[in-house]
Amino acid sequence: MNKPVLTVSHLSRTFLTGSRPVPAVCDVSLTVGSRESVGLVGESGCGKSTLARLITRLDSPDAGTVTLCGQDITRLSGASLRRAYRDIKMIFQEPRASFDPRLTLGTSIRVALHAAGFPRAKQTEETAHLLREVGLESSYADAQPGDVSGGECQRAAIARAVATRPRLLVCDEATSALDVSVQAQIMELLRTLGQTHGMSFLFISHDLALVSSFCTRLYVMRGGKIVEHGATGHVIRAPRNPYTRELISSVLPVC
Amino acid sequence: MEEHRGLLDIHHLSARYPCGTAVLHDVSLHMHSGEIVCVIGESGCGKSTLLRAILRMPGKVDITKGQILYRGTDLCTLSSSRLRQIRGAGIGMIFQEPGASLDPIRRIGTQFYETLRAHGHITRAQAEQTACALLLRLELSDPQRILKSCPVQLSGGMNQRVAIALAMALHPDVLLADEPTSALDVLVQAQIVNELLRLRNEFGTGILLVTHNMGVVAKMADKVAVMYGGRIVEYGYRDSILTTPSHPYTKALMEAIPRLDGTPPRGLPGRACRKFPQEGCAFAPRCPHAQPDCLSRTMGPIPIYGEHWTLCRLGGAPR
Repeated sequence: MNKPVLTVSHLSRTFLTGSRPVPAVCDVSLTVGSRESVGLVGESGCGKSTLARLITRLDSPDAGTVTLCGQDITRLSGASLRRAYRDIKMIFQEPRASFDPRLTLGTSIRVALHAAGFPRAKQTEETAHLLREVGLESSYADAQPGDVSGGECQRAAIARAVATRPRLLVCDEATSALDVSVQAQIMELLRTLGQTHGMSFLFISHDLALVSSFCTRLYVMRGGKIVEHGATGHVIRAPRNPYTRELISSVLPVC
Repeated sequence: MEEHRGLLDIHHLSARYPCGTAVLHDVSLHMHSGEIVCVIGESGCGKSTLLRAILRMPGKVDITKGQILYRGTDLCTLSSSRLRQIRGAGIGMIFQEPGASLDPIRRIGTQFYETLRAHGHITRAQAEQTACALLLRLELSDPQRILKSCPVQLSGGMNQRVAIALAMALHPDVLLADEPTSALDVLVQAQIVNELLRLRNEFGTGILLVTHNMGVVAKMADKVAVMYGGRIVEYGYRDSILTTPSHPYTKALMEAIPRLDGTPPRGLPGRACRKFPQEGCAFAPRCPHAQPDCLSRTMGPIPIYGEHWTLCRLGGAPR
């Protein structure tokens, strides 16, 4: 395999609820290669989102390391962490909740550009360019998150995420709140952006069919642990873990 | 198609929001006992509004034309007190967000008792017994504990099963279900689907199910109604809709579904329909086969085979 963009090794995170420790992520290791789309599936509460937050350094692990483009970002802070943030971006399930409701979409995108040190004079122009790239007219820069549909808002969130030309995009249930036709549009957009910019994806979802249409490799997570991984087609055709089998059989075939 | 005399017959229903925006155009739908009719379509196409119109939720939609016949009685002209008797006991409803349809801080047992009390004389002990039996049937172990719990203490899947049990407590003939599985996990979703099927088989309940999960449609539906822009654009038996979709919108919808074999879903270009025109085809602006007069022609069902019909002229014709 080519040189990985992301290497996660032996990552663990335990939450304390009351007096009882809840291990949310236990000793998870995974890799995402350059220009590769990797899927992470599992049911609610299996630790997918916690893992995503650890990888994107929205939360800090108790043990283990996250290596992004050869650099260990686990213990970074301040300016060096902000620099690392340019290479890894995340999109969330609820596009509206990921925007400040009082700011226009354009302002939110400009804030992301500004944080990455993009020259101020070119920010407005770049914002319009980014919006067009995700299939929105530049007039959407003046809209507020509440004014646009869920699909349009998710497009704007993608525009903001790719503003700094990240190497890796972590998508946490990015299309689960959208209906099938909009979901298919967003998947097409991600695929195109991935090809144009040479981005890698860590695609987190509970929708096995969706993941299998987008990702080349697949990790199955349960109870904070990776229980199975391999090439997508292989895992789906010949699952070895009983939990993976259960997950596959719960996908209702269309015809 | 007027001569149907089923459990629920909707004839040429048109409705608008109180603000004046028209939302349903000429919707006709027929359901017999024990039949499952699925309504599919994108967000904002009027699916949920149709369900709300049937129950005549006050203040939500105004019916401007048409009839909703429940066992031959027109719900549109019924007094609100008669309607209250039918809601729940005749026509039950389950919603997308189980947490939102239950009172979050009152015990499930109390909510069962209240629902049953509203439709007949019953003691608390009898209500509890009924509730326990229903919860057990829905494979919720330890129903006593659940009856003592509040919805905030239960998971989403458990709450949805409680909501289904609550809707079934009065043995309605018709169950209106508004995306009952979309807020749930795949594993729980598969369980809920099986439970709804069992309810149909045991009680002969007719289910009108709004969903955008085609897997659920394939598993449950007897008939499918495809909605776009406030109209039913294609209607027919499940197999004919899923295997030989005829309307260009239905075809696009089928291509947008992610499949386990790894076929990438194909998106439908353009934006969701916001204005629901009175005349002409609402899908025409996004349709690859649109012709100039599509926007102005009068829409009417064009039969394809048996009960399968479409609004599109290109219907049956090969691409």
